[in-house]
Amino acid sequence: MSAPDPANEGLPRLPAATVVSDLVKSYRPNRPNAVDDISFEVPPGVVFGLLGPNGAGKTTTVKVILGLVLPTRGTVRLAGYEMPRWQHKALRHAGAVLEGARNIYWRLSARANLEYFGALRGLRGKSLALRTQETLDLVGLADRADEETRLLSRGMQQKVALAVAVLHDPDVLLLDEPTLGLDVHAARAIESVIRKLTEEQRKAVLLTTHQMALAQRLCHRILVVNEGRKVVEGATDEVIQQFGGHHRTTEIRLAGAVDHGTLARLCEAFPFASVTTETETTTLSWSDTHPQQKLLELLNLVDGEGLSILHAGQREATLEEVFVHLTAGRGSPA
Amino acid sequence: MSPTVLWAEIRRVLQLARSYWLEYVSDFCLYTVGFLLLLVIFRAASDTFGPEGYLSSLIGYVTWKIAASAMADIADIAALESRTGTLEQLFLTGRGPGLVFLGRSLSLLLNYGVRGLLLGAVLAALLNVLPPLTLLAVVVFVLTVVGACGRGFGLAGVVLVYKQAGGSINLIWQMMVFFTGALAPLTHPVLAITAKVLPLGWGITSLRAILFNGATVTTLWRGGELPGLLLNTAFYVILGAGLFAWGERRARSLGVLAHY
Repeated sequence: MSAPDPANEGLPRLPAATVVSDLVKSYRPNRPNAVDDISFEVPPGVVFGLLGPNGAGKTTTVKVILGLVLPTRGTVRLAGYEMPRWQHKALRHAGAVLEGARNIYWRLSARANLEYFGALRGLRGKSLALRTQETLDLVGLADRADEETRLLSRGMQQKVALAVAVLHDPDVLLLDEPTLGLDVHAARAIESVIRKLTEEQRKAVLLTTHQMALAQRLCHRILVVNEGRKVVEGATDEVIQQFGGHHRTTEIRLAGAVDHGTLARLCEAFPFASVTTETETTTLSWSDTHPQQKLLELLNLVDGEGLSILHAGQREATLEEVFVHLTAGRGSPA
Repeated sequence: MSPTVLWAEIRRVLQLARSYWLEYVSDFCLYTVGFLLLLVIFRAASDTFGPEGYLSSLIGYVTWKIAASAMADIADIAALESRTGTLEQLFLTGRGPGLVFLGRSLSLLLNYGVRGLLLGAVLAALLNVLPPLTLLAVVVFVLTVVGACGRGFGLAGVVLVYKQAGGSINLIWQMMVFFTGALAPLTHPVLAITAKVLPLGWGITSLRAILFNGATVTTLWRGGELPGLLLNTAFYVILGAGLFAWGERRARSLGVLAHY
């Protein structure tokens, strides 16, 4: 289940934190555009997922928004400022994590990284010390703050990178693969921080990730891109609803391994159902394109065969299934 | 130049020094022994090479060590930080890349300045020579270093676009010890002209004139050393700033500011 979309909860319309309009980026004249006519906006309090296979143009889009790459055409407004013209003003209100744990000094401690980048961002004295401590607490690094970053685990290093990005309390956060290469626990910890930043501090977050489960849990809205072009954009639930029909399935899970004779009779009566047999369960499932009354018929037959039903119900499509469906044959989903 | 940026850079250098102390110690030992070996070779080659020659070489060597190291490092950090991704984070601070690099250059100069002067002091003590430092010598030294940093800025701009150029920087700075007359005054006309074109040549010539001949501002001006040094420094600072601005814009256009 994805996060609810604040835009649909009757909240007053908030000014867009980041607006990308008709963005085109071409690196070479005779090559396809890395980003080809992309438009979207990320309002405050929203996690916006920019999803796509490798080479889809996600990182280029993020870097154009930040002014690290110059656009070929189109306009970008970051925190209300036109980029790259007002880059220096806009960047005061933006923070970024690029490609996981890069962008920090590994030979410095987490605290020293924060103090260094904080000073460059204009924080000083007590306010820098206070903000550094608050940020270390936010990402859960207070007890490891004085160890060199290179000695920390990968997950902690990425927390340091995230801490550097949020240190100056920006309105907009751009997170490019913030959970890259992390184990489940470390990824969940980063996810929890991002959730806190949007839900409690109303920050606008633009997130790119290959982890579709994370995107589904975290993103209010998503834009799927492929080969630089927009494939679909919308509220995460709506996109899954709209394109997940083929992957929405009905399942009946039976206790134990069903004998061959019974299984043959079931398959004969319901040829559209696929059967998965495991050590302790047998699962029959079929796509929702088939009529729902089939479920009742199958339940009656199963009951007549004297089989024990562990679970019967529908499984919604996942964002990953929808993503693969939307980008199939157009690139390699990670 | 914002004091905040400069102070942040100085703190960063000091914090990093704790992590790199072994490298600093080995660098110090290597350059101390290396210089003494060079003097042994010079003395074997010429019977007249004595304390005055030691001092002349020491002045050039220390100037080269400080200025050329800073020059090479300014360019090197552009390549290194581009690979590690910290260059992008620096740009994201909104301070302006030129300003951040200027702060970085000054902190590098401070780092190399302290290490270079320590090296010079130890070598001077070992050789029992004393360079008579004057205000004019300090001004000439600063102008020389500024010119070298200008060249470093230019190289950094080139490295932002052409990452592979980073590999040749170390070669350039090592070669400068020979082609700037750092170890001994160059008498061959072609080498003498080469030394005048490179960033350190005018400065080292002027420093020797001040320390050995008691040259004043007037004599340096009339002799052409001071105008030469000023022009050389201005040329490299303007060229460096221009190349850096070009490199930054070009790298952003090509999307190669970071090169993971």
